[in-house]
Amino acid sequence: MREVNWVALIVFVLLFGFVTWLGFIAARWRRGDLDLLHEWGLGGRRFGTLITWFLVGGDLYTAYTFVAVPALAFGAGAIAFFAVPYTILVYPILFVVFPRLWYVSHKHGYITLADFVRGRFGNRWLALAVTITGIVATMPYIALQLVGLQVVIGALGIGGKGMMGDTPLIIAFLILAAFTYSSGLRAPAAIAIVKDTLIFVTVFAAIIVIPIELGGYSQIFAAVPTQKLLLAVPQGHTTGAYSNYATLALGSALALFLYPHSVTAILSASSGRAIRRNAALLPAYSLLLGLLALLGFMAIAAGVDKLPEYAGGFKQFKANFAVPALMLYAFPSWFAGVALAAIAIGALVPAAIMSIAAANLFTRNVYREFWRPDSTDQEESQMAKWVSLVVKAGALVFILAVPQQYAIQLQLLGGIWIIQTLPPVILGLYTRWLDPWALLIGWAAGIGLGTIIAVKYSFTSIWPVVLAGFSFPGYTALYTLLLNLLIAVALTPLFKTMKGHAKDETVPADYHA
Amino acid sequence: MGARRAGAPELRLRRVNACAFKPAGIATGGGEIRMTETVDLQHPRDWSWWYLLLLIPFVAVLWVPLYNSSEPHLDFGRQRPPASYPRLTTYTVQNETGPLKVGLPLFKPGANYRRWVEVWLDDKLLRPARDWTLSSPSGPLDTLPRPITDAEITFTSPRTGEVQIVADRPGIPFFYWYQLLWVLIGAALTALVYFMTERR
Repeated sequence: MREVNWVALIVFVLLFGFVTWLGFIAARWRRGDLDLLHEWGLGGRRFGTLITWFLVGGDLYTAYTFVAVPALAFGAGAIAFFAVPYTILVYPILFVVFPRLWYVSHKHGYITLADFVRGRFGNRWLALAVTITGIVATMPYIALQLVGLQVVIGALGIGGKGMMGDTPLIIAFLILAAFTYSSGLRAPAAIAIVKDTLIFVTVFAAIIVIPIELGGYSQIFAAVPTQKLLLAVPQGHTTGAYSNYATLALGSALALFLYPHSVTAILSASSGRAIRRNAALLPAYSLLLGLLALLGFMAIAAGVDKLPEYAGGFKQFKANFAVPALMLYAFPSWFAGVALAAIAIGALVPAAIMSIAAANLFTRNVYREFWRPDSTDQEESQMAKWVSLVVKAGALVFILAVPQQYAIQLQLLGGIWIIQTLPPVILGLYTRWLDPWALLIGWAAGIGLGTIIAVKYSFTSIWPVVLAGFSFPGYTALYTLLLNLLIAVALTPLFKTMKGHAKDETVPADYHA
Repeated sequence: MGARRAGAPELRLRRVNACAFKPAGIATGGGEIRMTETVDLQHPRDWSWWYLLLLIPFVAVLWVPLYNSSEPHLDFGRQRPPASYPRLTTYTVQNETGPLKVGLPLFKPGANYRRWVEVWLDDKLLRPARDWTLSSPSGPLDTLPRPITDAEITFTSPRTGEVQIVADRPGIPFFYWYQLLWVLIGAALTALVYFMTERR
């Protein structure tokens, strides 16, 4: 492993200490009764446009994103850029669809998507399916944040193997767990301001300083092997890389705001208008993401993988080490400390929100729905705090005890699973026509087929569907969603003839300002 | 908008009454259409034709063949290439006009050579056509089979210093800058739709 970079480490520790302090004092920010779930888990729904911008940005653009997208560009080339059209498409969806969710949630006190599905379709089993999908899809996502943290700690030279090597990660976990428990969503909201500022500073420094050092952007792109620079043009009877790229972008965009942590962030906004404004403002992060992806090409041009001082890091973390190595290569130690701290803090914010979101889901839609329907608000809030600890501890154990590859594979499966909740959630925001039992069967079919396909194709995200001798390789999640929708639509008339509708507690006026 | 809001309660009452005459069977439980429901005309359906603008980014970025190309590339932050650059030919000239062999195969079609090669004299980027011209002893550039392997440059006036000829520098390929540009266009469209549809 590398030697300890003391200057970078000191800057890193100072910034990490600062956000730890911020996380704890955040409990007093816009003070509310943290014994109420909507105060602890949604910050009292009081965040305006600016704080929501920081919170959603801090939530969606995670440490793993900052590490993995450039790593994919470094290793696979142009396909990594699908993250850009993905985030271009996600905000029109946010703009049109999710203010409706905010309004109906605000009017009925919904805290989770499963709350909405329960209220809209009157079917606790469909709500349970949404709950389980949300929790199971979120767990590996939290684990991947810890992977991002691990890479950064390794870059500082304080990682390694065995118990001593894991100690920094455990300390970071304890800090995260403690401030989430005490401050709830206010902690990541406050820290997100620091995190996003640091990330913007780091990325803009990187896209100016590194090209100057490497001889300009032309020089950087000239260093990228030709086969990585563009998508391979399809040959013969296939849509090839084109349909891979387009379906990955569209499927990911449709799935993003179905993740519990995304919903937690947008439901904490003070109004539907704040969400609409953010749909126009959040693309600033998409630009950041596109520029971040270019860091993978900068790492190729700099040849950091061939430098002996980073050989240990690449051996341990593979392409994920590309960005930390580039930071250490291109910047003075103190700024490398800032950049690495930005990525590490970028792990804390989403991990905290994800654990809160999973806790909200369990507490509202399992504990209160099936176990203790008569629990008090205080008991509900206390249960959520404990569950948030359990979720984080589970993610930590997973990362320490299980090969990292499994977390990545589970996160891929999580994407396939979470998109299966689209029909009851997004279509449910517009129509009550679909029958909940038909939706449940469609959900099960989508989850089942998606899992089988993913396992069959060795956990790649692409399914090469062949129709009439023509191959349409594409994102498995999107294809299985089509099956899910088809089943839900086909079975709905059948169920409607068999029985009456369960009660819908919402009315059309609930979906507007 | 303000006048409409002031009159809203009356309108709302009328709509409710009108619906009450519909056959009860239409109001199937759980359906989106409920004839006994109050329809709030103060906030009508959140649909606007402006929303169609939000479909444009979907077409622009999901039709991948449209932009999976290097050209037109974007020259941004162009600097003199380092000596290790792979597609580079270097000469030292003393008050000469050339011709100097490019020494690298040229693949691009047509006769407009302005973007095919760069010519640097010491740290200065020379202007194509004005400071130098490109030609081939084999014939006109636009009719020669590709790649052109014997192209040469000629200065329009005598030059002294180190000359670097760079062929086919990629710049920022279209694939990348096009998508980054659509981030900005998408944000602008969303902002436009927000302002045009926001209730005042």
